[in-house]
Amino acid sequence: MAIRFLIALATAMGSATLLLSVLYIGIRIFAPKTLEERIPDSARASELTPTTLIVQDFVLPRMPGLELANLLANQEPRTANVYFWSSQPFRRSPSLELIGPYEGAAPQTQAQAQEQNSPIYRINQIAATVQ
Amino acid sequence: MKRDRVRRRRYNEDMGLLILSAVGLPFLAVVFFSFLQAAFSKLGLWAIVSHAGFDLCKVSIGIVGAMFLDIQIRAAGTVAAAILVLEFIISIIAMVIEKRAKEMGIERESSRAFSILGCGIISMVIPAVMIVLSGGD
Repeated sequence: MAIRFLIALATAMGSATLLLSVLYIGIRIFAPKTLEERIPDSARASELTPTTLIVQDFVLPRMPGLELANLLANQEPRTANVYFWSSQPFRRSPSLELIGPYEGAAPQTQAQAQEQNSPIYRINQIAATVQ
Repeated sequence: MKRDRVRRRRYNEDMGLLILSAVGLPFLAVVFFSFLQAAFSKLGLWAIVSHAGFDLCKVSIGIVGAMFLDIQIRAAGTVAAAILVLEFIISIIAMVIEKRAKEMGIERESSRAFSILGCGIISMVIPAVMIVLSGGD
């Protein structure tokens, strides 16, 4: 049985080499440029877990979500992408991944935010549960 | 004389089966899965090749099932279980390559896709050839 397994393994290696060589030659003939494509860095960046809050161009130190919500609520109307990251290393909770674009006038009160179903209100809510 | 002819014909049949299981099956499967991906998604070439590799890994797990039925393999259940675990290991290696190619020093899309496809082909050929060598059809 061991000999059969070794024969099967060797056959598999040879078969893989043969088929991949055929495929490689085919691609080299018909689409040589694709062989030079590199793996994008974004694939790795998505796995990184920053422990800071990034608001537009500003990188803020970690701060309570309610403070951030208040900060944004006082801004002028604008569009912003807000990302809220878990402080736990290597874990990014989907519920904390927030959530842009934030458009229009920022709501001044929580009731107003609730009415508008605004991202700010969602930050507020999540911050309340995180803290 | 007649016995030699029968033996030669049997040998040719066995070799045909071996080549079919080692080269023909994975080639046809790669072609099928590649076209399937191309038809139902807008992925690029290397993503299609990678997905074909993963599909081969999945199909190979099904092929191991045939080993359980083959009475000519002694302790077929044990052997098939061992091969099944080996298939899982090869599949997980393919997944690691997919997720951590950069960390493993693989810079090009083509290298990653070929590695994954290679894993798929190996995982498919091992049980198929073992079934043929054991006298199964």
